[in-house]
Amino acid sequence: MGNCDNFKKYFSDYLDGNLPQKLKINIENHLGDCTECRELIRGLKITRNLLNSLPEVKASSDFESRLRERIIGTECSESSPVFSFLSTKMAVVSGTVIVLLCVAIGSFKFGVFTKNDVQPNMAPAISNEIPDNNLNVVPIKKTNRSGAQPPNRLLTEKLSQIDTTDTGNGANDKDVNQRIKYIKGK
Amino acid sequence: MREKTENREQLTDEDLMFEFQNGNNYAFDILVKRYKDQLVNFAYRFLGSRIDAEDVVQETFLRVYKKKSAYKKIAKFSTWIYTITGNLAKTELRRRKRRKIFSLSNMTQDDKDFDIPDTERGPESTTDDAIKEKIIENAIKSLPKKFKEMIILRDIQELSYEEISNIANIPLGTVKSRINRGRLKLQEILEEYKDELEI
Repeated sequence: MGNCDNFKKYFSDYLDGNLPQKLKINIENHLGDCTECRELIRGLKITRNLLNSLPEVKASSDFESRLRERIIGTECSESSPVFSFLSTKMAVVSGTVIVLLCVAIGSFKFGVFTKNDVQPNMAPAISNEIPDNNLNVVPIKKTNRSGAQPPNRLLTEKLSQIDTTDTGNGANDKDVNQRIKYIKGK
Repeated sequence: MREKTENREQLTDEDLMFEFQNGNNYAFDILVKRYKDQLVNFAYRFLGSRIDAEDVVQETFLRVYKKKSAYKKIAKFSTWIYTITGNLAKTELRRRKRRKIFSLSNMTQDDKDFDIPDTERGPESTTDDAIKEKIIENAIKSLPKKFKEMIILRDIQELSYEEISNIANIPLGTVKSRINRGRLKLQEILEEYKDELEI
């Protein structure tokens, strides 16, 4: 039995014809005396023949054309400056920056035009023109710091309306507060 | 032109690779023709799926194409390409394990189980030869990984011990030992199916 274990590790080489002559003779002598090892060798031969008999699985007929397409696809994505720039990470970073810019621009615009949306007939805060009663645009004169009354009655009314807006009275309170919040947020 | 093509087809793998590295893409085409079937067969014996095997071999050739400068003529081309395919096949096996793909053999305690028939084979899968083939394939699949690779490379791909040693990056003695133990183990498994295999 001890001998059997010693010889078993050479059985594959024996089957493959890879043993030195002297060792091969020793094994053959042992096989002559040992039924178990003879059976083992027979089993190994059958196993090897079964493995050799497995049919070769071949590549499908469109293998080469598919490979060509993959290679062309890889070359296009690697050579194009757009694609090479927009790697996955870059695409994520670029996308994020663009979104943030849009939000910033939108917020800025929203903050400027909100007052106009609510009171379409009122002059914008930065404008230096106001519509008169006939909706004709009339340039306004700036009041001095002391708040001296301008001579024109219509102009006075318009100015007071603007003033009201600026101090946040009445219906414009909410819009002004929003503007303040936006400015503070900056 | 035809003569030039024929001459090129007689070049060794290493010379073709050299030509390819110098810009001759037709040399690459010849290498693909030479190796696609044996590599698909090799990967198939590892993975058991033709679709996966072709994917692995496509990826192998893609890497050869993209990284042609990585090949050095001192090594045999076959060793290089088999190493890439073997590594990709093993990666795919590890990926499958992580996905924990369900197989019938997980359900039964009985060793005599069969995987779901491979529908890629077509109606001939009901023949006796196909059944024998399936038994052998399952037996190979059930081998420990280190024996499976040796058995596939030696007894199916018929590579030399030296080449297997280079591909697997293990000593020659270890290759012989694993082939021997792998065959003995395989024989043990197939012994249970001797009636079906008619041995």
